[in-house]
Amino acid sequence: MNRNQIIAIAAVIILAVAGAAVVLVTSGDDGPSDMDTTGRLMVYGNATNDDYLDNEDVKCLEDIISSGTWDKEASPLADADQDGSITEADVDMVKRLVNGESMTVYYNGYSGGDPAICKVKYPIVNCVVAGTNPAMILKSIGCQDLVVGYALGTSPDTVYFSDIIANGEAVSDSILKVDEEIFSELGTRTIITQDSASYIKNESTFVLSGADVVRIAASNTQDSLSSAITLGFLMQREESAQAYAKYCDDLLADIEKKLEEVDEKVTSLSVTMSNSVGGTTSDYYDATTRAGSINIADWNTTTQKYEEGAEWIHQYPAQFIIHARTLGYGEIDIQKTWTSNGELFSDTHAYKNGNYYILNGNIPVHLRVAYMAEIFYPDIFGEGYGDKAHQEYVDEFLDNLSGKYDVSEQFVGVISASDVS
Amino acid sequence: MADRVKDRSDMRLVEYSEIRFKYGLQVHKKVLFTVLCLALAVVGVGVTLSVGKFDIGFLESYIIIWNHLMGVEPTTLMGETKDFIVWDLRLPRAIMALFVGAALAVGGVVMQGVMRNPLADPYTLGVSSAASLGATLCIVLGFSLVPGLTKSAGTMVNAFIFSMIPIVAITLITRFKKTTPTMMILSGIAIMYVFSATTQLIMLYADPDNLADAYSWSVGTLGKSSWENLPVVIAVTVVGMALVSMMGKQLNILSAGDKISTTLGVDTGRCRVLLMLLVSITTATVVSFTGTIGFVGLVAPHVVRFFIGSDNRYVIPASACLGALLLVLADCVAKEAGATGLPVGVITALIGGPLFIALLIRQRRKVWN
Repeated sequence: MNRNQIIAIAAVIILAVAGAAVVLVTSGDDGPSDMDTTGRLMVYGNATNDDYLDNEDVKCLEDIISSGTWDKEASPLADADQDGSITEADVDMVKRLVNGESMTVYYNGYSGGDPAICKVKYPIVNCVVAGTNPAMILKSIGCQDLVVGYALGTSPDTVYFSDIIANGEAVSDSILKVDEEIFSELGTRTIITQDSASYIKNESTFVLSGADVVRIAASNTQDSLSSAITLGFLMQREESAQAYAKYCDDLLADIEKKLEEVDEKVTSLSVTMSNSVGGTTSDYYDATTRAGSINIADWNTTTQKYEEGAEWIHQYPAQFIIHARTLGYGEIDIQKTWTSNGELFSDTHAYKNGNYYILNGNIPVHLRVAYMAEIFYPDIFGEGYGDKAHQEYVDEFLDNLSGKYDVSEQFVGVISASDVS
Repeated sequence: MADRVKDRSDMRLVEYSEIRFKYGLQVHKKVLFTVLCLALAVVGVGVTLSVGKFDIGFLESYIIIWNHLMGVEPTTLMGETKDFIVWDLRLPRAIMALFVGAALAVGGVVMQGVMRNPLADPYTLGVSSAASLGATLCIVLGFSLVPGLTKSAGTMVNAFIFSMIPIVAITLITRFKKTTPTMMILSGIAIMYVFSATTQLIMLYADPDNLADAYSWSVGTLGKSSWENLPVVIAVTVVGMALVSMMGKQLNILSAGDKISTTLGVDTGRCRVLLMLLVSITTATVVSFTGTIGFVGLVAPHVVRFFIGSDNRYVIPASACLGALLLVLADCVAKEAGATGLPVGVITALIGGPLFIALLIRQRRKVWN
């Protein structure tokens, strides 16, 4: 074999090895261990603190046992059985969870409005949902067929929730309550609702009857994804939940990237309900800042009420006011909506300058951010940015509307001064 | 003999002039009290212009008003904001406080006199609960008696029209059946319960957003004051108070009881209904713009009687001035309280209640009747 032949063979080997390496690295998306590790699956047993519960967690637990040291910062959710230590029992429990066996699992949820370690019977095979945001998450992760009862208020969005309404039963007139008797007739043992203590105040009655009340944070960009992934796991719809999380992650990443072009950030205030102006702990505060504005609210309570004739709001001369209202996917009387909501804010600078906007809040929080970003920076995001992202969401995740609902034609995402007389 | 008669006559003259002097002193005292209350109320308005969550100095407020009157336009964003706050928010609100306080206090005097009951106030006939129902219907169910109005205007119109229902009902009852003050009070309470129950029923099914709005309306606030709605309140209040003042003598006689009134030639039934109508229309107008502001109508007349006695010819104007003063002061506190201010109805009850009890405890002489 001459020297040239040896060089050629070596070159081929090097190329083959490099090629194999490239293939291995780029094909990593197929295996959970190479995907993002944002620690959003809040179920105990998720030792690797990522978005998945799989054999990696079993291995991680075994490593902890063999090394005898448990790094609680790296593996805060390792203690699957919540006995305070990592033992073979945790390994066994996670193995059974990976196999989808029934058991009681622990997860990071909410109790009395505060974060708490909660337990629930796994898997959740069906449920009652109370509250619009949790119901939207369930639909987004493909669990609508598991909803046997719903509490979506006196006039739920019959377009968006058409499948839930058709297949389930109304369990109360209020989004905050579930009727015990109707619940007991539905053959389910789980209620999924919002984290706030205002929802399902009679939780103890359900708990006494052996039911689980799963409380999730559903209206904050990060927490809502964590809730989606956790619910996806608990309801054994991991794949669709992961797909939804990826869609939201990609959308936020795109917004973030585009926001790099912004030279000077605009200022904003957010409003929910008829007159609740969001403070620093409000979900809408978070959404407006993610959309690239500087929210100038400086109070730590969730909201402050702005009553007619009050002076305090004038101390916050924001360029934009984003007023989120529950408008739904159906037809809207734009003029009436504008008048009834905007009247109160007509003396603010934002309103006078044409920068008071009513945002349709009946959409996942990530889409709200997309619409807001388009409002704040139309030159960067371009007209229709929110609608485009929204159409993608409808087609990908809403079985009942996919291919039938044209967002730009049928959905009123934002109402501005130019839309009304 | 003639000297003795002359002496006696002189003595009578001296006594008469002494009585006249004393009476004059008492009248002066009453007038002085009224003028003092009025002066303090005006000073209160001056103070309240610089009170609020938006930081504007005392002198600065007056400079802003002066500039506004002189047509000097603000040149900066901050200047525009301050001009808006002083001229469009604080000034109409202060004037509104003056007239609403006066109207409620006079309403209290009349109702207490007509009903011969110290617990009566302008809302005794069920005006406030009826107005609340009207407002709640518009806020929660979007039902406006006059179609095509905005939510805010619809709420106002509903509140006014509904608050007339108990007045009409009681007037009709008195046409067909001779009624006593006690019966009127009891009718008012019955009407109040019916309206309150209906309001609560609607609120049970209201979403949290509307529920908060309806509740907020019922507490009573001066925050909705504006230059646009001031003329109506001022006109109705001034006319109402003038007519009531003209009937001060009849009210004195009515307060003495039906038998004495009839003996003195007063048509008690007609007089009572007329006074009640005047007060109720004035109160209904005020309530439709501000919601139910409690306690002023109850407390102000009692405080006035404590200082100047029970002659309604003087109690009416004095109560008007004191009511105005109380509401202006309460609104100063309301604007500063909490993170965003509080409805003035909360303050009048919180401060007025204990003050009233203290006054009753300190009261040495019986001024009622």
